[in-house]
Amino acid sequence: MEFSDKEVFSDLSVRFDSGISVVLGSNGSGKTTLLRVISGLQKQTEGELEFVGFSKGFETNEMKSIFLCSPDVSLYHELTVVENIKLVSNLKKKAFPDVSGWDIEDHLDKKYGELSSGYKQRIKLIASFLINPEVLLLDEPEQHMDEKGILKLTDEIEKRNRNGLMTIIATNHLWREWNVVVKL
Amino acid sequence: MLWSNFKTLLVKDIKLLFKGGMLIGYAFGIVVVMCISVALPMSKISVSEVTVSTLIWMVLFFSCSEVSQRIFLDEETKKTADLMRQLVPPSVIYLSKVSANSIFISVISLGVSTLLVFWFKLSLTVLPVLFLVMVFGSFALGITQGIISYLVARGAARGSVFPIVALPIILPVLISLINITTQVLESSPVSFTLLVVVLAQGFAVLITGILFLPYLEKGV
Repeated sequence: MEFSDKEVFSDLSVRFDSGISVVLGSNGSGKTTLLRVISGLQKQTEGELEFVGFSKGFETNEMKSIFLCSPDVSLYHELTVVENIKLVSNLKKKAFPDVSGWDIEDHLDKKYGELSSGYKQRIKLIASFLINPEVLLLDEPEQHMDEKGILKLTDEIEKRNRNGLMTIIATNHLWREWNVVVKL
Repeated sequence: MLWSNFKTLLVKDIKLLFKGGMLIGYAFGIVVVMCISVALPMSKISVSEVTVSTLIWMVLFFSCSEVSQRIFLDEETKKTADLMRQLVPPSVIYLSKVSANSIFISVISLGVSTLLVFWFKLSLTVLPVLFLVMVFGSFALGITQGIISYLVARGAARGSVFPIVALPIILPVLISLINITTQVLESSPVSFTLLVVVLAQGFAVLITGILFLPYLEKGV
């Protein structure tokens, strides 16, 4: 797999089963590239990607049940937090989510672009859990988050796990005792 | 589902046009056209209708270009494009942006045509035809520029290349629109065939965009 004509990784064979999987690796090891390929936002230079056992109609790069939340995916800076969440909920035909526990009540009417990095990350995670895809790809989800935010994040990931949904987390440090599937 | 997603995105794109300072391009266009409209009759310089029509459509072309490329390029540079790509099909993204751009340029062109009728002391009877030409022309312009903006933005090219890329493709539309507008300003019989040609090109580009963009996205 190449990124900007530089080989990121090769001979990688990995299988993700339902539940929580962790992709561990240092900076530049290709975690983000791997997740982008799985999400369909980037095409692999070689090799195959196979999805087995998902609901009918599931296909990567289609209107799919897969979503990548990463630092390279942003919400709209000019819109308020409420407008951004409503935009996602309207597009996915979902009700406005319960945001308690994310500690963002005082920021709902602020523009997304005016928030601190930690709050921006919270809003992106709220949107990701609202979309509730069969496969949720989280690229360094703990980035910029304080302890309270990380606790809420792990709660939400565990909740998805109990509901039988798949979550793949890419991170550069092990912050939970979850199953490390691949170390890049 | 697609229709409701289109409406949601259209509202978002119009909001962004207001909030993102993208109206500067349009405002610039209005100011230039207003200055020309006021200055020409006052200067008593004899200006042909074809010159006025050319000026109007060139100004509308550049202000439409400015906004069109920004609404597409901004999504890439502000990293919101990947969010949208994961939530809605590319054809819906394209349609909503093209519609937002076309609606805005139509509103401006209606203002411009009203000014023209006033300053050139045209008969009010030409107003409906002039409105029709300006609105249909604006949609054809917006649609054609939309697809080019999408390609320029997707190719991560610099926004400054946009008018250079767009002009040859839009030239047939522009020439047709200049001809029709000249006919209206001269109060001579209007060639509706030309208007149909302009609309046909807009429609063809629109359908091409809707059919082609999903394949473009698959080739990421």
